[in-house]
Amino acid sequence: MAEKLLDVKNLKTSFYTHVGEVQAVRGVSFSLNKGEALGIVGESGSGKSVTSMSIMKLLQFPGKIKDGEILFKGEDLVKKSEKHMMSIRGNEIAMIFQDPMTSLNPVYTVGDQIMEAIIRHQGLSKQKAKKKAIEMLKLVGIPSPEKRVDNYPHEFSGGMRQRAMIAIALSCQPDLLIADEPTTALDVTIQAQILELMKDLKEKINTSIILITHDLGVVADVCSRIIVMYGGLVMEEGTAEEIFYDPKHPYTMGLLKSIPRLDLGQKKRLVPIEGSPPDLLKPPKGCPFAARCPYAMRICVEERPPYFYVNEGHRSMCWLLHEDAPDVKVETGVKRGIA
Amino acid sequence: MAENKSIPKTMWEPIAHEERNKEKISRPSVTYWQDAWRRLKQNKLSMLGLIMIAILFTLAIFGPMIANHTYSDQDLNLTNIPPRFEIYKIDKDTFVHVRRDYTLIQVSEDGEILGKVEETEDNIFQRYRAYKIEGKDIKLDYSLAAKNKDKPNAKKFMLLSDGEELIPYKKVFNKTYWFGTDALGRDLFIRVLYGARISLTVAIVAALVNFFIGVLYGGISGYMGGKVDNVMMRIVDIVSTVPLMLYVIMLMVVMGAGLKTIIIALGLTYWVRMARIVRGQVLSLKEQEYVLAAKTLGASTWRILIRHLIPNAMGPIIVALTMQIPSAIFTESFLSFIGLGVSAPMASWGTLASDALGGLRTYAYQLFFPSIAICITMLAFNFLGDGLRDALDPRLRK
Amino acid sequence: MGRFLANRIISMLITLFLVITITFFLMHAIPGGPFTREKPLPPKVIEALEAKYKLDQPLWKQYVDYLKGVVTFDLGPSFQRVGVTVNELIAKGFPVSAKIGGGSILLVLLVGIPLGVISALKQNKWQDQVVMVLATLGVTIPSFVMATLIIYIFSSKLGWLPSHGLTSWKHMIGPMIALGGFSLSFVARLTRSSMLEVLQQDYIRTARAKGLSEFVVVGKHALKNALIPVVSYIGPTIAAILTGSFVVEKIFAIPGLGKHFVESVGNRDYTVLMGVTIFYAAFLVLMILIVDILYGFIDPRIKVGD
Repeated sequence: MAEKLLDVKNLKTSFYTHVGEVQAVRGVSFSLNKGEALGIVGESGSGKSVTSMSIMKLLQFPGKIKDGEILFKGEDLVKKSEKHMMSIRGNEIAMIFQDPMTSLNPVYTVGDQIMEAIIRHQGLSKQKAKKKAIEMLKLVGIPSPEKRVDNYPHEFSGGMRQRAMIAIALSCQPDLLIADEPTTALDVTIQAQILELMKDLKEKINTSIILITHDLGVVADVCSRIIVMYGGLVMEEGTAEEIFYDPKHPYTMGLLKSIPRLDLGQKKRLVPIEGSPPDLLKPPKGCPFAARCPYAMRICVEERPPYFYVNEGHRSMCWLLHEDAPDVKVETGVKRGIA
Repeated sequence: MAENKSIPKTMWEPIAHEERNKEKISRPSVTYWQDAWRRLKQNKLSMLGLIMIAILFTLAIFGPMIANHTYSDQDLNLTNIPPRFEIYKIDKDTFVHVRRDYTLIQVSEDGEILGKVEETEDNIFQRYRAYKIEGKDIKLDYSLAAKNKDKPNAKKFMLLSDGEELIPYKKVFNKTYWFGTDALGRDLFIRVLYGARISLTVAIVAALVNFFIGVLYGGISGYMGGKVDNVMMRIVDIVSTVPLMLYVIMLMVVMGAGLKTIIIALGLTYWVRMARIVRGQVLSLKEQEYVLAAKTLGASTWRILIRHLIPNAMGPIIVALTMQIPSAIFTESFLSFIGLGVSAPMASWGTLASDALGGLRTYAYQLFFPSIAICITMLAFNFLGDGLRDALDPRLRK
Repeated sequence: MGRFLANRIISMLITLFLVITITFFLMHAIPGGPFTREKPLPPKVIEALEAKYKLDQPLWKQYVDYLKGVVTFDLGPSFQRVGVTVNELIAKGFPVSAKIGGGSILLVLLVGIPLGVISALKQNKWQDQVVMVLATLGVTIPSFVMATLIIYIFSSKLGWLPSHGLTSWKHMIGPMIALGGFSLSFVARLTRSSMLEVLQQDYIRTARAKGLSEFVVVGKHALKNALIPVVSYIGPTIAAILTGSFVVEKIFAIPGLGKHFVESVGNRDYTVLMGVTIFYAAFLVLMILIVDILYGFIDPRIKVGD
């Protein structure tokens, strides 16, 4: 079995606002092996970004990790001091964000912003750091990096800025790269390029990746394992194959049905998931998806389902998998072989 | 890892849609303005500001009506009487107060001013004044004042009743003139109230000017765009390079000081900042779909501007207004202070403060009241403005 | 850069030309003329005076002459002070005003900005509350009230500061605070809200994710961005301090340009009024140009080439 890089155990994160405690993450567990790429999928408000910010320990006020452990290389990050976290951030765990237009500081050059991390963590001199920054820009495919290194972010296009963000993130060869919706704000063609680049660099630098997205198409391309989150909980976890071709949770099925697909022909319409996500200020006591689930049963609103394991790596939080559950005819995922 | 405990059969029944949603709390939908008002109400300081402004308006409008003096009533016998003073007991029902210029006025025990006491003798060489009150010989000896000139806290005078020195009986509030009187014996309270009228008039004018000229100018400039916008904004640039105060001062010199001039001067110059803000808003708003929709439906330019664009820019407009109004009040008091404001005997807070300068060392209260009035007004508008900014900022909406 | 400068200088000159024109005709629209006294002067004297100051010539001729004068930096003689030119008044008064004005601008920036930053970093803590209460009070007290309060408390009652004149550094404290108080409070509030907004930005999160210390995140990444609106307020600050100097110099009896200006308003010394107004406008326009250039250095998104 491969070496575990990250092991998140029962993570609970809440935001203590003036109207009350918003339980954004309500007990999330997953692990990540070295060199693996994990996808976290869910709609906005499902707690996926809060999970990643909890791992970085960069939660904004009034967010707080309430409970749980985040074992990184066997050490619990929750217990680490801020000073220690600073030496981990950008060095061992790096992160890229959704909107490249706003994620770079507009008043400093791109080169300056790449060099910063290098100088901070590798103690290189300014000249050497600049050389490294140019190298990094070249690595992420920015043409004439010697000139571009002195450009300001506004002189870069959106795709180039995201490349620059990736250059910043990878400049210290981190063990783990968390990419929070790295392609959402980009054009489709640029999206593909950025994903290709990430896959490519993952091999070159040997980094593990957590890719957070609401777009199943994006994870399918990059990740070997997928976590589906909803209402601050992991609904289903499995390999990319299992999630796409053998989903066990109605939410996953709903997500799959809402992706546009060419191969299904014109007769098949996209099926949206009706309703909106639960209010995490007062999370439902049962399954968070019950209110929108087409198969909801009485028990679903009464009690939160435990995880049912389909096999060792494939689990789902759904009462339908209980042995006593009635046999409802559920539509499974995408038919194998077509996609 | 399925649980082993048995689950009752009924639990496996599918449930109706309504039942599933029973835990969901629905939030009532509120409009932008309802939401803003709700959030403004939560802000205690802003509500305080709003209440203070309401009180100011009420006092300014109705206060002078029910008062028994007017702002210009002079009583040269009763000048520079402070709002709180020491009294001396002469007789059972007879009390006097010694003024800073060492003359006596008769007062009641609870601080009502009864009038000046005429002296029977005024000896300026020996520095005393003699009075006859209720059959008693009262002598006010102020020869100590010259000796203790440089000691501010030393005793300056002695009050003798039939040769016996009197000690202060007690300190009372001035019941007749709540804020005291000025150097011409005018009621400072009424004058401060009249000052409020002037300040609030200026505030209303500034608001109207901002609203009608500034909003329309900015709106037209932003909506027209292109060359028109370019020219209009160049004009604004040029007007705003030179501080408003310089224009206002020049206009005042040309037209002569007075409230009318202040109003005209403000009208000519006070719309610039608002025009800029509204233009910026309209520039971004006009790209929105609903404007396109209105255009497609054949709405006229004017209608789009008045019905669609300006209402949607209302948040920033109101916030800017609450900043502009106090600044106009400030400008007026400033001008009045340097002698370019309303003319005597009318009084604005700036004039009152300026008048008080001469006697500052002895009659500090004359500066205190108009200054406090300005500060309270500013504070009220600032509190309200801060709260409005928070309440109307769409980014803060939840 | 060259084109930007050329453009700006041209629009500066247009502005100044308009100011001169407006000022000139406004001054000549005053009913009565400059030699109207409560006790009328004999017609002969007025005639002689008008001939001396070339007021008997047609208006357009006077205007052209005045423009010529301004271009050659000659603002003409004072009408009320015999033998004194406007140039001399400015030369004497401006350095005095500049000393106090410059001092208060430094005070505004060096105290206002740090206070705003502290306030933002300690949001809702006692430091923030103290700064905000003071800053709110600061924007509610007019400069003339502030000036009189300073004299009343620190000069009359406590005797710590001299009450008038400008002969030592101690004389500068009172006027500087009275002049800068409002702007200082405003800058503190502006810096605070700008800082709070910047701290919410994504690039601050990026900087934190890089593992930079809080000091670098705030001092380098946040501060420079937060200063952008503050820099654009420097222009209005200079204007506010300039106009504020009218009363502060009067109250503290400082022989600066503001005092001359207010006096010229009082005694209808039109050439002085006109000359000082034009001088102020020119000075301000120049300052705004400098601030604009400075702005381009802080914010690379502003293309100075435009």
